Amino acid sequence: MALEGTLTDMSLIDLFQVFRMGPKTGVLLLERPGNRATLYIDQGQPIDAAIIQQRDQRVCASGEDAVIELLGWGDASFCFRHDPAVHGRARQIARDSEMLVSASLQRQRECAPAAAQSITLDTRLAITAPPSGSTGAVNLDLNQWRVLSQIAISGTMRGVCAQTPLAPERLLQIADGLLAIGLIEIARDPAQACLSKHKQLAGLPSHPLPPSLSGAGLPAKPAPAARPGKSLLNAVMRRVRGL
Amino acid sequence: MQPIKIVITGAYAAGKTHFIQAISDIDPVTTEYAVTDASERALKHQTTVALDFGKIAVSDEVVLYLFGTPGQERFDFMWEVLSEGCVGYVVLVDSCRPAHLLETQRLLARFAQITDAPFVVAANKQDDPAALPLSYIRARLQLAPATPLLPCVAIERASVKQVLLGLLDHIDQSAPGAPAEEVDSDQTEG
Repeated sequence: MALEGTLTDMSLIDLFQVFRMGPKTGVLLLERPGNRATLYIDQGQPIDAAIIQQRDQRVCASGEDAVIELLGWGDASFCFRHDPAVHGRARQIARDSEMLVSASLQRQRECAPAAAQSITLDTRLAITAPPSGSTGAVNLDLNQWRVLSQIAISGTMRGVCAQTPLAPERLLQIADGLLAIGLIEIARDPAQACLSKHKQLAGLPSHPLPPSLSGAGLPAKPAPAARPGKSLLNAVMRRVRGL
Repeated sequence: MQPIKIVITGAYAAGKTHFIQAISDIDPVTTEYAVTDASERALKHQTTVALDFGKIAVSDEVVLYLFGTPGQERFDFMWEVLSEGCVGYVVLVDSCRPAHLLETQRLLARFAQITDAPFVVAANKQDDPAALPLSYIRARLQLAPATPLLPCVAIERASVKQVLLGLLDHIDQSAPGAPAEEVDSDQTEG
C-alpha cells in the first residue's frame, strides 16, 4: 500500500505539507523521463535525497540540492511508502522542508530574470506570504523597507513613487530585488486576487472550483426523498450497531 | 415492507464494491465486467458497470438497501437513477490516490445537483500509514464544515459500520427541527 499519483495531481509542496501533518516517515520515489529520484522522509522532514540520471545511472544531485531541484519538476509520477527504517538513516539535509521550498522559489526567480524586469511604474505589486520562518535570514536596507511598506498600501509602483523621495529607476531596481527575495509578487487581476485571498483565509487550497459547485447553471433539482422518521432511523441504527 | 435506500458512490476504484460486500446480509448482487479502458485496467481488472446491491434486514418490516454506483463518469446517467428515493449517500474517496480528489470534487458537485439528501464522505484506506490525512482531504475537496468526513477501511466490517452509523446520525441531525450539528465533523484530524 502506498500514496501514489503524479505531481499534477498533488505538488511536491503539498506532499511536504502532508508529510509534516502526519508526521510521516518513509521513502518517496519520483520518476520522469530520463530521471528518477529518491527522497527519505523522517518525522515529516526530508533527511536525504538523490536524483539519478537513468541513462548512465549517475547521481546528478543529492541532499538539499536534489530537493530544491525536485521542487522545480513540473510533472513526475510519485509513490510514497511508509518505512520506519528511514528513522535510523543519517541526516544529510539540515534545512526543513519550508526553508527548502523557499530556497527553490528563490532559485526559480533567479533563473527567470525576464519576469523581474517586466516591472514598470504601472505594475501592480503585492506582498507575498512566504513559508513561515523562511524570512528570518533576510536583511533589508532602509530603502527596501520603505518601498516594501509603501507597496502594502499603494499597489502600483507609480503610487509608491509618489510617496517616496526615490527616483523611479531606483524604485524599480529595489522592487526587482524584493521580487528576487520573494517578499513581493506581481499582483494578479484584483478580483481573482480577492477570491484567492478568501480561499486562503478559509484554509482552502486554490484549486479551481467546478462550475457546478460555484452555483452556475444548476438545473432544477428533483424533490428530496422523504426522510425516515426518528423511530425508524433509530431502529436502523440499532441494527447497524448490532452487525 | 418499508425499504430504506442508501447510495454508496465515489470515483473509479474508490472501494464501493468492497464497502457493500463488507456489511451486506446477502452476497451482494454485482454486475462487474472486464475493464476495457487501458488506464482503468491498470487499477483493476473488473469494474462496476451497472450497480452493486446489498441488503441489511432491520426487522420483518424494514430493510436497508445499499446501492453502489458505477465510478466512471461516463455512467453518470445511472447516478441519477440510483439516487431516486435515497435517504442519504456515502461518497468514498481513496486516501492514497490524490488524483481521486479532483474526480471526487466533480462527483460531489454532480450529486449536489441530483439530490438534496444528506451525505458523508468516507476516506478509504486510512489504515495505510502513507494515506493522506483527513484535514488535507477536507481542504482539497472543499467540504463544508458541517459535512462529516469519516475515516474508513472499506474491507473491514467494523469500519464500514461506523461510516453507516455516521451517515444515519447525519440524516437524523439534518432532519427539520433537529439541533444544529457541531461545526467540525472529522472524527480524527490527520
